[in-house]
Amino acid sequence: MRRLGLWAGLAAVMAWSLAPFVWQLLTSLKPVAELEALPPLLPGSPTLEHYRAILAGEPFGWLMLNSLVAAAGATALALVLGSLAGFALAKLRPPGRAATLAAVVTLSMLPPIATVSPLFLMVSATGLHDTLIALVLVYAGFALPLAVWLMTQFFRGVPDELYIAARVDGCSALGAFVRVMLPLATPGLVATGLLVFIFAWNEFLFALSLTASTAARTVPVGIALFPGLHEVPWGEIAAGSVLATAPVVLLAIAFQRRVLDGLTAGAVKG
Amino acid sequence: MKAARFESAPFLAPAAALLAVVTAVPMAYVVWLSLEVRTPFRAPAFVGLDNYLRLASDGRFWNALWNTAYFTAASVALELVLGLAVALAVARAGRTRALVYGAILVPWAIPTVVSARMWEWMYNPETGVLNYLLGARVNWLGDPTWALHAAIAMDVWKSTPFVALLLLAGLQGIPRDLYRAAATDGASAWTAFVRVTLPLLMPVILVAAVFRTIDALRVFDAVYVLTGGGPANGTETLSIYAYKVLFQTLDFGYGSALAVAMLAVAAAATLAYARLLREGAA
Amino acid sequence: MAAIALERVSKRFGATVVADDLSLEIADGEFFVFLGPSGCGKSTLLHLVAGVEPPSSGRIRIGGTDVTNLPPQKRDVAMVFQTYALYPHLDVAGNLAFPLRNRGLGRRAARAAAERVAGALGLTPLLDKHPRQLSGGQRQRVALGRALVRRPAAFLMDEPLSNLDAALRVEIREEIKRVHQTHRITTVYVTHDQEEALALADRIAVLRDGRVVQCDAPGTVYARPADAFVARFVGTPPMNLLPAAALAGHPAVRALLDGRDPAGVTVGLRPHALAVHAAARPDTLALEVALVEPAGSETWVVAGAGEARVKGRLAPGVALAPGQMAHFAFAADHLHLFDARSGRRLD
Repeated sequence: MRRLGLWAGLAAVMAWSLAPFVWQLLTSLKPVAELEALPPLLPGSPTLEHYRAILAGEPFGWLMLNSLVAAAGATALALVLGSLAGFALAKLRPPGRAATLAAVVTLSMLPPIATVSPLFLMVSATGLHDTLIALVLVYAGFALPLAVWLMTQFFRGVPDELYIAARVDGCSALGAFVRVMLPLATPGLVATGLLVFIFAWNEFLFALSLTASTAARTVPVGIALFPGLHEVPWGEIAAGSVLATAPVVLLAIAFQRRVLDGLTAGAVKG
Repeated sequence: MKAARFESAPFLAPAAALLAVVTAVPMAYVVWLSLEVRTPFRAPAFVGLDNYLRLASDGRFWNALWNTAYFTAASVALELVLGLAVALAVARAGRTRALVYGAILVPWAIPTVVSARMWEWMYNPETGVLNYLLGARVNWLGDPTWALHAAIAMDVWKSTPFVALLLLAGLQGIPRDLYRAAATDGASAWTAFVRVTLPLLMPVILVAAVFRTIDALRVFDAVYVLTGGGPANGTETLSIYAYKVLFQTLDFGYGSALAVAMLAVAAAATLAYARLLREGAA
Repeated sequence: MAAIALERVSKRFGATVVADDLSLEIADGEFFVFLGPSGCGKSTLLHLVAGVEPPSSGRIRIGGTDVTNLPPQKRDVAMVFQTYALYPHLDVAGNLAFPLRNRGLGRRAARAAAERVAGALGLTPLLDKHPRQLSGGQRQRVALGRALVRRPAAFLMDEPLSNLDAALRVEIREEIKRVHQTHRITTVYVTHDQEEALALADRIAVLRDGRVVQCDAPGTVYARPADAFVARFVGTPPMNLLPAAALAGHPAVRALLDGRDPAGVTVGLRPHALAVHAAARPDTLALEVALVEPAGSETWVVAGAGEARVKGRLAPGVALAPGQMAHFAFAADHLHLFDARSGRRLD
C-alpha cells in the first residue's frame, strides 16, 4: 500500500516537472484558431505552421547558430583553462591553494548585474560589441569558477600515486597531465562540459546587454524579446521555446549520470 | 628545489588571466563607475559618494530591495521544503530512478527566459491553462497581489530539481546502519527522520541554501520576461532596477552604484552562510 | 646503477619533522632498507630521492651528481608503490612500455622491451589485459616490470608487499630478491615489516622520529641492536626487556653489569634465547606462568606480570600450565644491556 503511495508521489513529481514543457509542446502544434480558445487541451488538427514561421520569417535559425557557437566555444575554453587549473590545485599543491579555491568559489557568487556595466563599456571600447567572441570570453570567464571547482574535485579523485608514478616514469608535469590525468578524469570533463554548455546556452543578461543584432544575438534573447506590440504570437513563441529547449534538455537526459556527478561533486563531500 | 614551488604557475595563469579580465577588473571598474556621474552627452565626472547618498533616499531602491528579499526568502524556503520531499521520494524510487531523474532535470535544463515564457502563457488571464483548470479569472501577472508570487512559483518550479538532487546525494551519504540502529531502538519513521536524517543532512541543506539564496538574490531573467518589473514596480528586483537605470536611462554612474549595492547584499549573505557553515562544522 | 647519497637532508611539513639532518651513503648495487613504524616518514624519504618532494634542507646525490634541483623525470629512478599505481587506462603492455615511450623510444621498440620484461616475470599471457582484470600479485609483478623495463640507476620501493596477502607476500618478496640478484640495481626499500627487512636487505636503517637509530647489516641489527627501540622492533617475538634488578642475583648479569647501578639498566633477552623448564634450576629466573602459546615447531610461555613479563621457549619434553612456576634459563652471551632512561646500548 505504501508502495502505491510512493508511485503516486513519484508520478506527481514527474508530472509537475514535465507539465509546463508538455503544455508548451502542445501549444506549439495548435493552429492559431485553437490557441485562443480553451477547452480543447489537445491540438485538434496539429500543425507545424509555427515552426515554419519562426524558422523562415524570423531569424531564429541564426539565433540557434549563434547560441551553438557561443556555448560550444565557451565550453571548450572553460574546459581547457579549468582542467589545467584544477589539475594544478589538486596535484601540484601550490602555496595558498585553500585560499585560491575559496576565492574561486566566492567569484562564482558574483551577481552578473554587477559586472554588466563595466563589461559593456570594455566590450564597446575594444570594438567587440555584438560579437560572438565577446560572448565566448564572458561566458567562459563566468563559468570558470564552476569549471575550476569541479575539475579540482574530479582530479582529487585520481590517486596521487598515479601522478607520482607518471613523473618518475619520465613525464613532466604537463606530460603527466596530458597522458595520465586527463584520460582518467574524462567523466569529470564530460560533467563539467555539460554544465558549462547548459549555462552558456541558457544565459540571458550578458547576451541581452552585449549584443545588438543577429550577428551575435542568442536564442534566449530572441525568445524574451519576441515582437508583441499588439498581437503576441503565442504559437511562434511556443515553437521557439521548444526549439530553444530541445538541445539542452536532450543533453541533460542523455548524459544525466554525468550531469548529476557535476551537480553534486564537492557539494556533498564539502 | 625552489623551481617546484612555481611549477604550478603556468597551469594557473591562463585561468587567472581570464578571471581577472572578465571578473576582477570589471568589479574594480564598477566601483569606480559608481563614484562618477556618467550619462550620454556628458563627460564623466567624479562625484564621490553622491550616488550612494541618492541610493539611500531612493524609495524605488528600497522597494526593489524589499521585493528581492521577499522573493529570495519565499523561494528558498519553498525550494528547500519541496526539494527535501522530492529527494525523500526519489531516494526510494529504485528501478525507476533514471526515469525520474530525467524528468526532474528538465526544469533545471530549460533556459529561464523560456520557462518564464511558458509560465507566462499558462498565467494568461484569458487563454491560460491555469485559469482554465481553476475556473478562475485571475490576472496573475497584472495584479499587484499576485504578480510577485507568480514569479516565485515559477522560480520554485525551476529550481527545486537542483535542490532535490543535492539533497538526494546527501541522503545517499547517510549510512543505512544508522536507520537500522534507530529502528532497533524503537524509533518511528518520523523520529528517525528528525533525529537521524535531518541532522546528518544539515551540511548539504546549508550548501543548497547558499547556492539558492545567491541565485535568488540576483534574479533577473524570470522577472524580465514575466512582468518586466511591474505592475507598478511590484515585482521590480534589484537586478531589474539596476538594469533599467543602466540600459534604459543610460545612467551608468547611478546604475553602477546600484550594482555595487547588489554586490554588498550578495557578500553579506555569503558571509552569513560561511559563518553558519563554520559553526556547523565545529 | 649508481650510489645514492643523502647529505644532511631534513624535511618538515609545518611543525612535523619527517627527516632530521639525515646523512647516508647507499652503495652502488646495494639493497638498502629503511625500516620503521608506520607513519614515521619513510615514504617521504623515497619521495625526496625521487624528486617528488623537495627537501627542506640538504642535498641528494645519485651516481655522484647533485640531483637536489632536478625534477623527477630527469633522475633515472623507478618507483614501485604499495598500491601498485598502474595506469588504469592502459593495458599491461602499455603500462610496461610507458616509461620507455616517455623517453622517446618508438612504439615497436618499446613494445619489444615490454614483451621481454613480461617474459622475465611470467606476465606474457597478460599483456593485453587491463589492471582491473588482474589479481593483486599480478599487478605487483606488472609494477615491478614497469620499474625494471628501463634499467634505471635505482629502484625505489614503497612497501610493495603490504597490500598482498601472506602467501603472495613471500612469493613476490622472492621475486624482488631474484630481480636484485640478477640485475644488481641499487634498491632503496621502505617497510614497517622487520621480517621483510631482515630477508631482503644488505643493510638496514632503522628510523624513528626522522632519525636513523641504527644502520647495519641485518645480522648486526638483530644480534647487537643499538637501543631498546630497535631491540623490540626487530625480531619476532619481540625481545624481552626487564629491569636489571629482577636479574641482579644472576652471576652472569652481575658480571655484565660491572658495577653499574641496576636501577639504571634494562636487560634484554630474546624469547628464542630463553629455555623454559618446569623444575627449579640454579641461575634461572622463576616466574608464574600466565599463558602458554603453541606455535607449531615451538611453544611459547608467557610468565610474570608488569615490568617482569617474560616470554620464553618451552624446553623439549616439558609441560606447563598457567599458574605453575616456570624457570627461564639463558646463556650469558645472549644478554643485552640498555640504559634504562635513554634506551641506548651499554655494551
